[in-house]
Amino acid sequence: MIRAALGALQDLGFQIEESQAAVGLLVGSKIGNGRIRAQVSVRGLPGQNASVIRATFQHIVPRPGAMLAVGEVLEDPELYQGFFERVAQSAFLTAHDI
Amino acid sequence: MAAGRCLRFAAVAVLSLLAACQTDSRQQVLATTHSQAAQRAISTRAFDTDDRRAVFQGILAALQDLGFVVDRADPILGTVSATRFGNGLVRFTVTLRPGQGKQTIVRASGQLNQNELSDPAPFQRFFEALSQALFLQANAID
Repeated sequence: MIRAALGALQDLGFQIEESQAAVGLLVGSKIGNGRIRAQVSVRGLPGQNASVIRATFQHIVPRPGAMLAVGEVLEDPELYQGFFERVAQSAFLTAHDI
Repeated sequence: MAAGRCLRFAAVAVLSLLAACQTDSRQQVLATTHSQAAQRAISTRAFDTDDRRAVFQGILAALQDLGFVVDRADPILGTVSATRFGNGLVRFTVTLRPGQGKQTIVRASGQLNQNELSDPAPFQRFFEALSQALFLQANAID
């Protein structure tokens, strides 16, 4: 499933900033109005043929001249629903070698 | 009374502003020019080799040929992220995965300044460079 999550991030135009496949971690970012960062973690459920995918999106606004940027966690349910739909579609496409 | 109304108005204004921000961020994350399948057709190629290491090194060489500097390379998952400055800021991520039989599938994606790369031309240039680095033909996926 980590490949499906990776594919979904690529489909949405995210650049991969960090990946630790062994522990199922992906971090990506996308530049637009400020910067959007996404962290996706994938872990298998013990004793089951299933995975849990968890995503967090952050919006970061740079402040020129300031030491720290301002940011917020995006908490829009439709954003996360949309993302997980892309992951499901990505899993299908990846399984069909597309 | 007037103060209460003013406060209520301010609260509504802040809430709608907050809602607008959320929609804006949602669009910024989810908006794409093509469908997922169409974008993959543009940005994915299959190479007739199962030598993952060679393809990975080929990707690094092709990116270097095109003037990119690698930000991150992960040979375990098979991802390379690179940036190029000059003529706009290009951020590019390339991933590889095993395909059916003795094939390796290479997928690229990227951003030019603040826009996603949806035009086929930059992907073609990248896959031509990769073909030359690998001495292999880049096959379109179907």
